[in-house]
Formats: sequence, C-alpha cells, structure tokens
Amino acid sequence: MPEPISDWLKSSVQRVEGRGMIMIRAEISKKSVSAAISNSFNVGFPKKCQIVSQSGRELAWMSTDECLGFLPLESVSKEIDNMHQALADEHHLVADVSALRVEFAVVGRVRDILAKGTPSDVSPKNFTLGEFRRSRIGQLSAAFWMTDEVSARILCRRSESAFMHEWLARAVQPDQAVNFFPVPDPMH
Amino acid sequence: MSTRLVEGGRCIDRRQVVKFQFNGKQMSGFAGDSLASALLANDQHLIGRSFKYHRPRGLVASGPEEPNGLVTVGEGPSIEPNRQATMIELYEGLTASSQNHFPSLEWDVGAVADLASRFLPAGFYYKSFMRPRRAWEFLFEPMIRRAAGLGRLPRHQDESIYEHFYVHIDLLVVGGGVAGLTVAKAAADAGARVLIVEQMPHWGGRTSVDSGMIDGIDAAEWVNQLIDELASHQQVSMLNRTTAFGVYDHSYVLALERVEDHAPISGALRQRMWRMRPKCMVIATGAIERPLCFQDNDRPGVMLASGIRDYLKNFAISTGDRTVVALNNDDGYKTAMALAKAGLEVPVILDSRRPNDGDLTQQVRDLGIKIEFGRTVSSVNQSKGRIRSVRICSQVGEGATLHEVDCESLAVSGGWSPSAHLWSQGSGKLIWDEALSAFRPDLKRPPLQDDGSHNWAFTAGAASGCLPLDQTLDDACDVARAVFKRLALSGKIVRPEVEREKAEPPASTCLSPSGIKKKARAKAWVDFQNDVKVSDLDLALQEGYMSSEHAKRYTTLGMATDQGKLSNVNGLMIMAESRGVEMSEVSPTTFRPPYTPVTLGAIAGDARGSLFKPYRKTNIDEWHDKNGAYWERVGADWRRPFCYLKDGEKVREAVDREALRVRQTVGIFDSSSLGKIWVSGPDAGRFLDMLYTGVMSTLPIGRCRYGLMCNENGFLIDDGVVARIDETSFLCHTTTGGSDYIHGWMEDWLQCEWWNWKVYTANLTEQFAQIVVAGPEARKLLGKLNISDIDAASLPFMSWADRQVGAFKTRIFRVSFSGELSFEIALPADQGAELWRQIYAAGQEFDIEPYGTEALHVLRAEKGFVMIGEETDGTVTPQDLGLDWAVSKKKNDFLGKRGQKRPCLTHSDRWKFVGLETVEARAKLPVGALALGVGLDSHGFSKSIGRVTSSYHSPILNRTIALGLVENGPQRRGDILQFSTEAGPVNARIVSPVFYDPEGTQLNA
Repeated sequence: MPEPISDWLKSSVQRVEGRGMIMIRAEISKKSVSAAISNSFNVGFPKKCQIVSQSGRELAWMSTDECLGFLPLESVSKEIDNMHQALADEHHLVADVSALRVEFAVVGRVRDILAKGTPSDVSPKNFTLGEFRRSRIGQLSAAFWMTDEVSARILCRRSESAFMHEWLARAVQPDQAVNFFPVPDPMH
Repeated sequence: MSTRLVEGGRCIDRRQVVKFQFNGKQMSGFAGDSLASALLANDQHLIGRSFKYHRPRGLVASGPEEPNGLVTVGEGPSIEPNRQATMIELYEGLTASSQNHFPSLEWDVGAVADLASRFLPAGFYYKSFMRPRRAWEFLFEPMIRRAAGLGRLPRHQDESIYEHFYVHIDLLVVGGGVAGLTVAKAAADAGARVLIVEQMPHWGGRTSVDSGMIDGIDAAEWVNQLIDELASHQQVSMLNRTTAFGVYDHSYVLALERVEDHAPISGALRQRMWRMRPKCMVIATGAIERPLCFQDNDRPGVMLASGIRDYLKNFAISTGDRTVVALNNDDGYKTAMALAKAGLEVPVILDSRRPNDGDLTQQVRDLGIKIEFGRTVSSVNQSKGRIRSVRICSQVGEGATLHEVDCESLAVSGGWSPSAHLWSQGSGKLIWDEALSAFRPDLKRPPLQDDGSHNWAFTAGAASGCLPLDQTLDDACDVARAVFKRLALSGKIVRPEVEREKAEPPASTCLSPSGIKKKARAKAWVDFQNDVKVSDLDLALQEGYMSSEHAKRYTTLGMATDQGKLSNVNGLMIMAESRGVEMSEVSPTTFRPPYTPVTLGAIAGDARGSLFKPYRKTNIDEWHDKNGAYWERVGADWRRPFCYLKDGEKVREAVDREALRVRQTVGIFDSSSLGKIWVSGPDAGRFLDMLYTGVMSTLPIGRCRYGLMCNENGFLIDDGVVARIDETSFLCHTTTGGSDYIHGWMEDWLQCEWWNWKVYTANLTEQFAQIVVAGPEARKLLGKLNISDIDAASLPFMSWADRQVGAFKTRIFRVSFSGELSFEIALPADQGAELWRQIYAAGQEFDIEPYGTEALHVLRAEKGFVMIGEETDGTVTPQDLGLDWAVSKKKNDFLGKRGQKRPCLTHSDRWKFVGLETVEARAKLPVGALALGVGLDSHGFSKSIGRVTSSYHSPILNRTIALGLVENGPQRRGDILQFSTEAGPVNARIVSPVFYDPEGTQLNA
C-alpha cells in the first residue's frame, strides 16, 4: 500500500478563467488537413485521444472529425480568421467556443480524484501525460487530461460547472483520500 | 452459559475495554471483538426471534454466513436494521437492539405462531387467504406484514457520506486467505498490478485460526510475514473490511469497502463502493460450513463447529463448559481439539461416518476425547432457552434415543460448501462433487468474458473445493500458473511447504438421523432465517415442485438477507433424497448479487443532497435566484424561473403581473437555454431543406425564418427560428428540451444517411446567453444603451444583425414569441449576467420586470402560437395545428413528407387546432379535459371529439383562454362544446386561436 498523502501535496481545485477555445471540425484524418490546422495553430497535431501542448496553446483530439484548440482569449478571433484561411480549400467548420465549456484545474493526487468519478482507466500505465479523455465524471460528461503528474484539467459544460465544482471540491477532501495510485514523485 | 476465558483470543486487546449497549443493557467487551463475540462474552446468546414462528434464535456462525444474528444498530430515527452481529466490529458507544419481537426479546407474544406452526406450512398464504378477495389487500397482507419481516426502516435521512471508486487492474484477488495471498504474491512479483480484497478485518482466513505449519513456521505467523511483504509491494493494494459482492457482464466486479463502520465518525466517509474491471479475477473466498438437520436444531446453543472454534481462538469465548461435537466430516475434529486444548470439556464426538483413522481422528484420540462412530444427535433437550443435554441416536436409524449427554453447547458440522457465489454470478456453473459432498465450480464451464474467452475468472483454494491446507496450496499454485498465462506473465511460482494430510471423505447427508421421522421433520430447520423446515420441503415436493428453483420460491428456502448460505445445499440434498435422485442430477439455484447486503447509500454514492442530480443553470441563474425566482425544471435538465415572486405574492398573481408588464411597457426574459445549433458547409441549405418542412435554402443572409421539424412519420418533433448567417452557414434555434436531441438527430442523418453531404454541425447552445427584451417600450429601452440601427427599417421583423451594446459584441434577432415588439440579444454566455444587469438597470424608468416561463406561455397562447410538448404529443402533425403554411408543397422531399400523406394523417376527422373560450369567462378549463361528442363509440364509451392542450388565465383579456385540438374544429367555429372536468362539465366556445391583437399591430409598435 502506498504511503498516505504527504504534506507537500494538498489536493485542491480551481476554476480556470480567461482561456479561449475554438472548435474545428474537418476531415482531420487527411494529412493535408491536420497539417494545415497544425501550422495555423502552431501546435503539433494530436493523435487519437491525445492532447498536444506547445507554448501556451493546446490542441486536443475530440473525435475523428473534430479537434479543440486552447489559446489566449484575445487571440481567438484572429485565430478563427487564420484557420478559415488555412482550411479554405477544405470543407470545415470553425467556431468560437470559449464560453461553451468551463475548465477546472485540480492539483494533488489527481489520479485518485479522477477515479472517484470516471469509469475510464486513469492508471499511470494507460493515462499518461498527453492523453485526453472524453468520458464522465460523476453524473456529468467531461473531458480531462493531465498537465503533469500532480495536475489535471477538467472540462465540462458551462451550465453544469457549479455542479462539477462542488463535486470536485468534495472529491479532493483529504479525509476521503483513497491513496490507490502511487504517490507522485515531487521532483518530477 | 457462554463466557470469556481468562487467556487467549488472538484478535482482542484485553487492555482496551469497550462499552456498548444491547437492548438498553450496558455491556462491555474488548477492542477487536465483534458484536457477536462481545454478546457471547456477556452470556447473551439469545439475539433475536425468527421470521415466521418467532422462535428464539442465537448465533450459529461467526462470519458473513450468519443467518440469525441480525440486529438494528443505532437508536432513535437514525437506525440501520438487519446488520449481522458477526460482521460488526465493536466500538465504544455502539448501540444495538434485537428485532422481530414484541414486547420483549425474552417474552414475545408472536411466539404463539410456533405453537400454531402446523397451520402455517410453506405457501400457506397462497391457500389460506383466498376469500373474500378484497380482504387480502385490507386485512391479510397488512396483518402478515406486521407479524413477519426483519427489522424496521429508519425514519431519518442517513447522514453518512458514501463514494465510488473505479479501478482497472490486472488481477483482483477476492479473499485474503492463504490461497488468495499466494496467488497475489506470485502475480505481483511477476509485475502484475494486484488488488486484494478481504471481507473480514483480519487476513489469513481459516488458516490463521486453525493451527498448522507452513514453510516450517506457524501458519498464522507465515500469513503475517506475507501480509507485511505484500503491504510494502509497489504493485499491490490491499483492502480489508471489503466484500466483493457482485460480478457482472464484461468482467465488471463491485465491492463494498466499510471505511468507517468499525469506528463511526459522524459526517465522515462511511463506505466506498469499488467499481472494478480486472483483466483477471481469482475467487479465493473459502468455504462455508453446513449445519445438520435434526429436531430443534435451531435452539440457541447449537452452533457450527467452525463458529465455536472461531469464537474460542479469535475472541477467547467459551460457548459452554461442555460441548458435544456432532459431525459428518473431518473438520469438526479441529473444534474438539481446540476446545480440549483450551481446557474445556468435550464429552463426546459424534461422527456419523463409519469408524475411520484419519490423521485428525488419531490426534483427537491422543487428547483422550471419546468418539462415537455411526452416531448422531436426534434432538436437544432445552429449558429456559438453554441447552441441557443432547439425545444421541444411530445415524442410520429413525432416532431412538440410545443415551443422553449433558452439555451446554453443541457444535455441528454437516460438511463444507465452496463459497462459489461470485463464480456463479459471473455465469460459471457448479457441479456436484461426490467425494467432496458439495457443489464446486465446474472448471469446464467457467464465467465467460464479453469476447467469449473463458479464462478470466478462477477459484483458488477452498473455493475450488480444495479444503485441506496442502490441497489449497496446490490449487493456488495451479491458479497462479493460469493467471500468468492469462496476463502473459513469467516468473517463479513457489509452493509453500506444508505437511501432507491424510483426510477421510465426508458423509453426504445432512439429515440426522437418516430415517428422521415425520414429527421431527416438522421441527428440523433447514433455513434458519426464513423458517423453512424439512417438512416444508416435503410438502413442496408433495405438491409437485420438483425443480429446485420452484421449490425455492414456494418455500422461500434460501431467500432473505443471507441468501441461503447455510441452507441451500442442505435443502437440495433433502429434496434429492426424497425424490430418490442423485445429487448430480440436481441443479443448484443461481447465485445473484449481492453476496452480502449492500447499503442503498453505497449504491447512490455521492449522488445525494445538492449532488443528487445535476440541473443546468444559465449564466444569469444567480440573478434569478436572488430576485425571487420560483423555479421550474424544464426539458434537457435546465432549471428556469417559472415566475419571480415578490413579497407575499401568489404564483398566479406573479404570472399575471409579468405578462401584463410585457403587454404594457417592457419585460426581460432569459432564453439562454434555447437550443442553438450551427449548421455549416456547402450542403447546409440542402440539408436544412430536408430537415425542416419549409424551405431554408432560399433564406437571405441576415434574415430569420420559423421552421418545423418532423420525424419520418410526419409528426412534429421540434420548432424554432433559423437564421442565415452567411452563404454556407445557418444558426438553427431549437426548443430548450430539444437542443441535444435535435443535434443528435442532425448528426444521425449526416453520419448514417447523407454521409457524403458536406455539412458540419456544432451545438453552440451553451456558448451564448440569450436575453429577450419584449414590450412596447423595448426599442426605447435599448436606445438608452446606445445601440445603433435597431429601428424597423434597419432591423425589420424576422431579421438579425451584429450590434455593439456598450462593451458587448452581440447578435440581435428581431423575433417575437410574445406578439410584442421584441429583441433577442445573444452574446458569449459568460457575459450574459452583466448585460442582463445593465438592461435591467436601464429599464427601471420603463418599469421593466423580468418574466418567467409561465408568463411567456400566457403571452404566446394569447397570440395562438403553438408550443412543442403542449400542443404536440408525438401524434400531431403541422397540418393538425393549422401550420400548413410552414410546410412546403414544392419540395421534392423532406423528413415526414411521405408520412404526412398517409390516409390516417390526411383524414378529414383529424382533431385540429382551435382556440377555446369558456362561456363563463373565469371558469377553469384544465389541460387534458376531453370534449364530449354525441352518442357512444364502438366500445360503448362516451365519444370524445377533442381535448384541451393549453389553458391559462389571460390578464390582458381578464378571462380564461385555452387552446385545443377538436375534430373538424376550424369548421365549427362558434360551436359550444362541453368538456368533462373533475369539477364537472365546462362549456367552451370554439374560437380563433389568436385571442389578442390578431392584426399584429403590437409586433411593429
């Protein structure tokens, strides 16, 4: 059994404000399309069920014909224009979805916290850095990924964000720690 | 008399005295006690009354198989009934009470049922309470429910916290005995991620209780060393107090962890449900001992041999100075030896088998204990609820007493059944093993995986039927090899060293004696918890219930909270014997989850209180809440203000006030939940022409059009305004309830039927807040906010434009669902509340009021606008609603076109849309009321020719207005119909559905 949670690692949850998001739907299985998106967004194109992070921007694989870009809010309208241009020869849809969803940052023993709500496998073997899941947390549909071994991001519908916040706030309670997954390495 | 011995008890800490209460009596035990052992230490062997006959009942076993020791924990309103005393760990302040008795446990009037037992045989209520028929509901059933049953329901909400936890692991080991631990260690060393769950607080299972040597050291010490190793193993997680209770499809296993039950803290996490998907599962759940069936075998003081041994070795409990042991297999000898070694008397061992000289027999002889072979118990002699002596007879005979032996306690062992519940739940089959005299897992018919593979679940050790320690360990090593194969592991599997045992085969009867006579059969219990006796099974057979499944249901054998852990196999053996068939021809009943009872709280997990169900909230929700919102739950799980209540106001008054304000000056409405689906691509117009009944492809950029959607049958499913954004993009508004469904509907057609059309959709419902400003002063109010170009020429009715409103970039739609001058302002959802506040502030000089969904409905009904879900119910077409103008006649095709041509939908007798005006202006005409026709229909019922679909009080007209569907309605305008309502008949006149401003002058005010 792993050791109980150390003091240096108190779990907490916070709402992330001010990030822009754009939805891109296109035939991303085509090399030319994914390359065009990648070039325009300036982030490598993610593989299936993955997210790529580069210099403050992130690009996540949402489905076989959809991806989601994260970027500073002020760059959204310019990026939408750029993306339209980059995909001018392709059938596509680009939309500003910055207000559609709400993002949460969870810090601590995040695998233990996620596993209280998601049926998806969040073990270190299967859910590594760069993996992006669209699944469920508690009763809500949600997407989540890890930004390092002790931090995760969670995305849910705006209308359900208060519910998600309350759920996460309960799940991070130290007296309810499960300590199932190995203690993350603080030097990581 | 049961008491605590001065020495021994491997699980208790004598330095820590723990006080508790049973039936209001103060008692004390030691830390480490179970409630059961602590009660025995206090000589409390009477624990409850039986289900049907209210017979006095005491403890039989020491673990989760216990059928009698059910108690209610807690007091007052926060109680928990039906908890097993054997599974409750003692803690300071524990309060428990016995169940199913009145007025007291010792003196119970219900016990007359025992005297009348010959009138209460199996299935008696199927036969006894036939006439008069109505009496069943009002008299018999309530009476029986009062007399029978276990425990009482708590009256208060459970304050404890529960949660779930999902894991995906390589190997789940159920059972922390030597077999499970051996497999776990091997697999973990080979690199597998292993989770071990153990239902008891202690590890090691039976082996830690029964002495023995493994690898040259004491077995209990060997287990402790292994536990230490596993506990520090990186690949291993261990959970004690955790019961794997259910195996489901796709190798889904549920377990209940009792986190705080052994030391409850108010408001802390009590139980955790583990939801597991192991690649591989090892069921090392041991075996369960069976009792013997003889006359009065349910008397307190008659216990399983293993139970007596557990109480003695774990808790230093003596169940009596003199214990007679009656058995038909080797294991009971261990109890006799343990008792003798503790200095207690074993007057005689009754071994129903022929004389034998197994290793254990010899060891018992060496201790000087007398053994009588071929003998058994015919009955017990008791007084004042205590055993005084046992009568001894020949096993093969009919029960003539050979002699009587005085004793206070009787240990019985009728053989061992592998605990194969999980195997069976997972669809694995059982097979009768003659040599073992038990059902054991049939290795040829194991639980199947969803992919048809069958090597994911294994039993190990006693659960496989390998009872002696040496066989258990052999089996564990075999299973470890199978697990290695399944998980593609490689590594060494070391078999621990143990001495070989020479075991004698058990006998295969539970009836004692074999020729037990009719009178004794009526007092010989098979199922203690459900009060099923040998005679009940006889009756079931006599009445033709041959199959074990039928007999189970007829007699209730094996039902209730213990699910027949002690009784199932004995029942089957008795039935097989009576029918004269071999046990191999009898199929056991299927085990179903849960293995042991699970609290509803654990199943609900965190879904309770404020997290019971998510309700979707708009960005402006907080403002509504602070301003008196009276909430309504609307389609797709939104909560929306029905109206806003002011001090002392009634709902109806608030709705009137809000609706009037919109007609007279201006109102503000949060329509953010309205579905907003972006449809884009070269084929978008063509796609929408197929989806909507009208033509959308011709809609000019900047304009809006009202559209209807039907399913393939031609029935209306949704409506809304479509806005053309650019050459290839449309924004389709749906109803609040339809946003997700219609988006799915669109994707369904795009992905499955028109996969080559170039259209993408995006559900942007939550991207935008949408604020409606409606009323004669709406334009003036928006002017205060310095919005340019919203005059009728720049922004005509049914158009949209992007406009800056102060700091906000918005898109304004000039559409109206109220019939008033109206602007719908959309902007990013996170800015909605701020703009709402600004409009509301600017609107003060126009006496602006927020209005809720009900005022919205009143306003639309006054204008005769239909509402999906009110006027439609899945059987209504656009033509029924007089919306023919919105159905294109030119288009080649659209969804529903062919459906609408079917004769039943074009029939002249269709009920059609009308307005209804009650003859008496203020009469109530409820929704759903039917209009009575003339004569009777083909079934002889009164003919109905229409129904009310919406009904409101219109404050502007100061009268009741209603909308409805009436046969040939539009042609019968002016007719008066009679509607049948709960309050009596109501007359209403058929009128135009447009009650207010039919010319539409307000719209362009």
